[in-house]
Order: sequence, then C-alpha cells, then structure tokens
Amino acid sequence: MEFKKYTQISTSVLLILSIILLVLAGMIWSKNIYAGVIYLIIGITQLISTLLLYPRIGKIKDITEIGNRAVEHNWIILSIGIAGCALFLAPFFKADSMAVPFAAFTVCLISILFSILNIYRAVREAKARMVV
Amino acid sequence: MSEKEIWPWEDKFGDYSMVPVPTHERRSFLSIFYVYMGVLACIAVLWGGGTLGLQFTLKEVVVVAIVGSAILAVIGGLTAAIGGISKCSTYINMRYPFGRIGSQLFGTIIAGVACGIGWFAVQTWLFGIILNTLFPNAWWANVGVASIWGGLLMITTAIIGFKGLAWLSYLAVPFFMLLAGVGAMIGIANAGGFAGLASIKPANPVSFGIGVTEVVGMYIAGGVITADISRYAKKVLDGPIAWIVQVIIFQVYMLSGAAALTLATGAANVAQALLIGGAGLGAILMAVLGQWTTNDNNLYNGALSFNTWIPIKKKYITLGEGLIGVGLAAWFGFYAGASMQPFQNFLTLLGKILPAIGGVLAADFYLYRWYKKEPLRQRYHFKPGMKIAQVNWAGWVSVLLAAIIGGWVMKSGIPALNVMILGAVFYIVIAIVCSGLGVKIDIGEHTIGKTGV
Repeated sequence: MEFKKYTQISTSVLLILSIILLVLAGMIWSKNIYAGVIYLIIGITQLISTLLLYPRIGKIKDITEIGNRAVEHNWIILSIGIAGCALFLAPFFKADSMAVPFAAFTVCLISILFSILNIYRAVREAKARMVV
Repeated sequence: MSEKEIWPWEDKFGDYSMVPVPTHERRSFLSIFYVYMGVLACIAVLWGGGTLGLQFTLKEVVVVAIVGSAILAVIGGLTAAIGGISKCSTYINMRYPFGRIGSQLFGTIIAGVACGIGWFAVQTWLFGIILNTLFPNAWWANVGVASIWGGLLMITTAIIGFKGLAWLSYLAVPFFMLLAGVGAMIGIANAGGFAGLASIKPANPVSFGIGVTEVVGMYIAGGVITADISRYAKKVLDGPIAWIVQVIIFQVYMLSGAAALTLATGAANVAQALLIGGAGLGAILMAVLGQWTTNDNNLYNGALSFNTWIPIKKKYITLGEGLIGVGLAAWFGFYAGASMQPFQNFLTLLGKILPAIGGVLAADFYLYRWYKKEPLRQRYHFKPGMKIAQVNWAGWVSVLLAAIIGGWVMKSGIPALNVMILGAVFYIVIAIVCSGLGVKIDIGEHTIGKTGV
C-alpha cells in the first residue's frame, strides 16, 4: 500500500480511538470528575495529534517528509498512550465498576501498538528520521 | 551546492561537540522543544513546586512561578539565540569572551565537574532515594542498587547523544506533563474542590522575593547552557522560542501542579504524594523518567565541555564521567547514609559562577560585538584556520568579580541574577574601556583546525 494512504488510514483508526476515549471521559465524568478531567486531557491530546496530521501531509508529495511528520505525531500519541495505560487502572481513577477504566486502558494500549507500528513503517518505508 | 557538501569541518569526536552542526543534521522546532522539556520534566522541579506549596497559597505560587520563569525566559532566550546563530556548543562559544584556555577551564569546572560528574552523581543518588521511599522493602530499590541501574540507564541515552536525549524526551515529556496534571487533580480532590484548595494557607510562609529566587535558582544553570541544544535548531529563533514556551507555560504549570498537591497533602515529596494519592504505576514511572530525562542532559553537557581539551570520541568521555558519577552515587547509597549535603554545598558553590559566565557570554555577543559593529548573523562565526585568543582576560576578571560580589558580598536581590548582571556589566565596561584605550584584552593566539580543536 502506498505510504501516504497507509498513514491516512492508520491516522483515521487513531482518530476513532481518541473519540472513544472522549466518550469514556463523558461516562466517567459524573462518577469521578477529577479522573474525568484526565480522561478528557488524554482524549483531546490524542484527537488533536491525529487531526492535525491530515492537513500537514495533505499536499506533500515527498514520501520522506510525510514519514517525518507522521513520526512527530506518532511520538506524541505513543507517549500519551503510555501515560493512559499507566494511569487508568490506578486507584485514583477507579469508578463504581472497572469497565470504563479497563476500556480506556485497552484503547490506549491499541494506540501504543499503532503508533509504534506507524513510526516503524515511517522509518523503514519512507526513510523518515526517528528524531525529526 | 548544499552546505553539507561545502561543510569544511571534520566531526572527529562525534555529536558535533567541537564543530558547528551542519545543515543536514539540524532538527525541527519540536525536537528542540522536547529536549528542553526533557530537562524541565524532572522530579527536582516538582519538588521545587512542592516547596513553594509549603510557602505560598496557590494564587501566590502561580504569581511567583510566572515572575521567576519570566526572568529565566530572558536569560535562556538570549543564550539559546547565540547557539542558534553559531551552531556551536556553549563551551565553543565561550572561546570568544574567555579565549581557548578560558573556555576549557570554565567549561570544565562548571559543566564538566559540576554537571557531568557532580550533579549527575547527586541526581543518580536522588533517584535511588526516591525509589527507596516508594519501595522500602524491595532489594532493587535499595539506594545503592537503584543508583547503579538508574545511573546506567541515564548513561545509555547520553552516549547516543542528541538523538538519545530526543528519543527519551519524545517518550517521557508528554507523559510527565500529564502526571503534573494528575498531581493537581489529586490535590484538588483531596482539598474537596478548587475553592478549598485555593483557601489553604501555607505551612511556612516566606517573602515573595525568596520565592522568585527559588524559582530562578532552580533552573538558572539550564538557562545559561541552552546553546548546547539550540545549536541543532533549523532556524535561529527555534531555540529561544522553544525555551521561552517551555519555561513560561510548562514550568509554571508544573510548579503549580506540584504545589497544589503539596498544599492539599502537606507532603513535599511529590512522587510519594502521588503514590499515596492513587496514581499507581504513574508515580513510579514519574520517578524513573523524571530523573532519567534530566540526568542524561547533565552527562551530555558535561561531556561536551570535557571534549574541549580531551581529544577522544565524546561517547567515551560520557561513559567515563557517567561511571564516575554512578560510582559516587552508589558509594553514598551503600556507605554514606542518606545525606550528600556537603557535596551538594560544594556544587552549589560552583553554581554561583555559572550565571556570571552566561552574563559575560551574552554581553560579549549582544553588546560588545554590536559596539564593534559586527552584523548579528556574523558573530561567533567559526571557521577552520581562524585565529582565536588563548586567553581573554576581561572575561576571566569579570566572572571572578561578579561571582565574588554577586554571590557573597551582595545581600539583597536574587543571587543568581545579581551574579549574571554583574558579569555582563563588568565585561562590557572592561572591554569597551580597554578598546578605547588601545589595551589588548586578548593574550596569545591559537589556530582552529579542521576538527575544531
């Protein structure tokens, strides 16, 4: 698959995951508003990181430059994903049931895996730099 | 023809430690910003915020943090722009106001011994202390044992060089920022809401000036050596802007977050307060990543300064100074109990000289070169074969006078800022007066070779 196309599709998947996080933030908000704020921050950061990638690669033809920009955004998604995984199951984030924290943890785990794969493909296929 | 093809230097020691960073190796604004943020994202800043939380109300903490950070923004912004123009490290830039020998001597004392070995050892030992506080019964969290494995982790990214620092910062910085937010949330939750938190009175109130001094003193060393990172920037203003944004926005945010946590819990140990507050694995990762991202920078800056007079690959210098630091930290951890206070006092003493060097550097670059009518972009333009002074005595005298008067004699104001301003004033006065009288401030001559030596 063409790299640009792949980047757009994988970014769409990450976009959906960030929207799921925002929905989960809404669900946890009424039970633990402070945890809800952190859910919201993680969700919004993921959403902005993915949304901004579309216009940033939109008109670019150079595959390496597309890769470099994909790497930039995926580092942020990876880092925030790790933060989510480390935090969502912690005692402070507990709600009545653990369903929402577990769901958020899973969403973040998938984000981590996707972002690692995206960085790997950008470096390998597009010859992008890991440090841009 | 690209600059890569006409780049006249040879990077013999690695990571462009002695030569300007070539165009094809320069990095984006984001990279520069992240590496600066990596230095900021450390437990020490959160502990600093925790200390403010014991001294001020939340509203006062925000004001103190903004004023202190604004001072740091000016200092670091000025030195970062020098690196953005010259593309060389602080210690190479220092060849102009101090001469070749001066840059080696002052660079080694301040960055090599103080940061590369001294502070690296202290922070590594502190890493052991934090881990031991979190897990008092685990063998791997014994102060000495944790110092060893933690120190080795920190050495690895420093050996890789700028790329190593950047990778780790990419991973750790957003995470760390989020944890500061979690700290604030735990603080607000514990205080029963924001209004409750805002109304809490501090345990040990102090004056506004002392608070600003604490904020400036916490990060002044980082503010003086910003060129070590900004030399990698693609555009001249990337470094200063990245520095200013991280200091003005994120330092204020982190200090306030930590202060909120301390105000609510009464505990200045942020990692422990987070663990008690229910941050779980986040508290542990905060302790590990916080120390790691800061301490690899200490080692990196130290190796850059040692490289000005030790002509071997920078990675070997990094390894050597790192192992000395780990050895010191482990020794203190295993045998010397829980206090490194005398050692820290010695490093604080050295730290009094550092702002003076920043002041002299800024005065030489922005004022003296302007007085000499050198165009801004042509200042500190190093070339193979060019001649530099062995010693610039005006720089030496200014630093010593400023450190003594500003660091010990003056009893008012912010010591670090006093020292820096005095350094700049002494230098510019001496240099211009000598220029007017026809007295040479340069002694001896040295020709720079292709390797930057």
